[in-house]
Amino acid sequence: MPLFHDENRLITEQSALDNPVIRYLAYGIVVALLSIVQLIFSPIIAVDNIYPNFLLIFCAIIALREGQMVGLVAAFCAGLIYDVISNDVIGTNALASILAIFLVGYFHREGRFRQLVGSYRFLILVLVATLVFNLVYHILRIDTSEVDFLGFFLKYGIASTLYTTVIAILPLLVMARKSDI
Amino acid sequence: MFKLVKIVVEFKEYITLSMLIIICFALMSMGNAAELRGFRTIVVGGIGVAQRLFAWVPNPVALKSENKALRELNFYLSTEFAKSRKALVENEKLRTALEFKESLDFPVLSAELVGRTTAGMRNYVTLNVGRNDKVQEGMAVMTERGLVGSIIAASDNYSLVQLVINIHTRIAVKVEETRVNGILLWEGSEELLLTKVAKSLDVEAGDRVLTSGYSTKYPAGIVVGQITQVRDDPSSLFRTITVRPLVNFETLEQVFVRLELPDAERLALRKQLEEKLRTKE
Repeated sequence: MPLFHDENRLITEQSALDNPVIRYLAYGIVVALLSIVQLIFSPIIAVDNIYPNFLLIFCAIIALREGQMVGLVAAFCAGLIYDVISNDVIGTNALASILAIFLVGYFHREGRFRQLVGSYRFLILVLVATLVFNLVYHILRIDTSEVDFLGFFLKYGIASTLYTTVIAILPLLVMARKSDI
Repeated sequence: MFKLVKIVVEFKEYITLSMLIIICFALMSMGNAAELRGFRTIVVGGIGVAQRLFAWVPNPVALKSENKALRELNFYLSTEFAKSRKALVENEKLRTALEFKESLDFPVLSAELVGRTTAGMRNYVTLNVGRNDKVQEGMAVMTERGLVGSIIAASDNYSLVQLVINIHTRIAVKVEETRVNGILLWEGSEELLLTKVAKSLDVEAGDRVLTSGYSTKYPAGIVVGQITQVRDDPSSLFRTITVRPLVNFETLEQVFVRLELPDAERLALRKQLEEKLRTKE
């Protein structure tokens, strides 16, 4: 029975998300929530001023599920929302996000979303995307004539990339479990 | 049109990406771009690269204004160069003059030439020092290179110098190396003439000629010139010796006046002798 019940619930969930309007609405709500979570919880879980990028992980998931185009728009909106709520210069997170997610979007395969997110390949994609994100973001923010860019990037960029990749294990585990079911 | 739509559809991701990038940059530019130091560096660097790429395109207006600016700069630099060159020459001159002044064992007064007078073969110069500066008639005038002449008239603020190159000048001199005495005079040529030197006396070209102690007008030991030629005329007992003055009278600007008069006792004695000779005659 429990097995039957679980399968039923899965079918119901899938049906709801099949509607693109509901799905995109859900993405919007999650992005908004993640932006707030990113802003509020980042200082709590930050290690030496280094924190993970939840929004980028979620945008990578969207890009892998919906494709490059939707991923781009989602990354742009998510970056823009985060720029606004974090009082950053408008456009910086958006630009870094769209470039990172554009890369992830290349790996979108129709109907292979679960396998992709549920495997180690997802971690590699998140790693690359975060690396690109941090690279672009720090290039925009840091004056290379004043600060040693390589040193700064190695300390903050790489560390943040690794932290985000570690966090990306969570959706990987969830998706892997769902795939098993 | 259809082709264009096809291209747009085919490359919609790239077009979207480009548009979003442009929007992002536009948003960043509108925002507080000062915070984006890296962005600013990129923008400035990008503009620099673009300017360098198109630098070969001639801009007539810019060229014209650049030309004008360069001409003005050229004029300014030429003037400055001339000034510094003049200052350098003047500095060198003054340094030499100062060294000369310090090497003398009698008091001198520095003076500048303010005028030149030439009447026939009589050459005079006017100095900007006079009686108010303790300058008197009979004082010798010289430069670091050699003898110039002597003061023949002085007003309160000016004095007149009879130059060595004057038909009336007669200077008792001595050849530095051989100590041979003679009388130096000028006959209108570029060089002076050393007279009353017997053929038996040893004089050579290149020897320096100094004022001698026999002179009642000039202090002894002041360089006057250098012997350039020694000739023996068969019809004369004396040698014909030409002396090139070491002072360049054409470019003379600064001189020293010796603030000491010749020995008054010697002068008085000489006057007495001249009067006795006149009465005997």
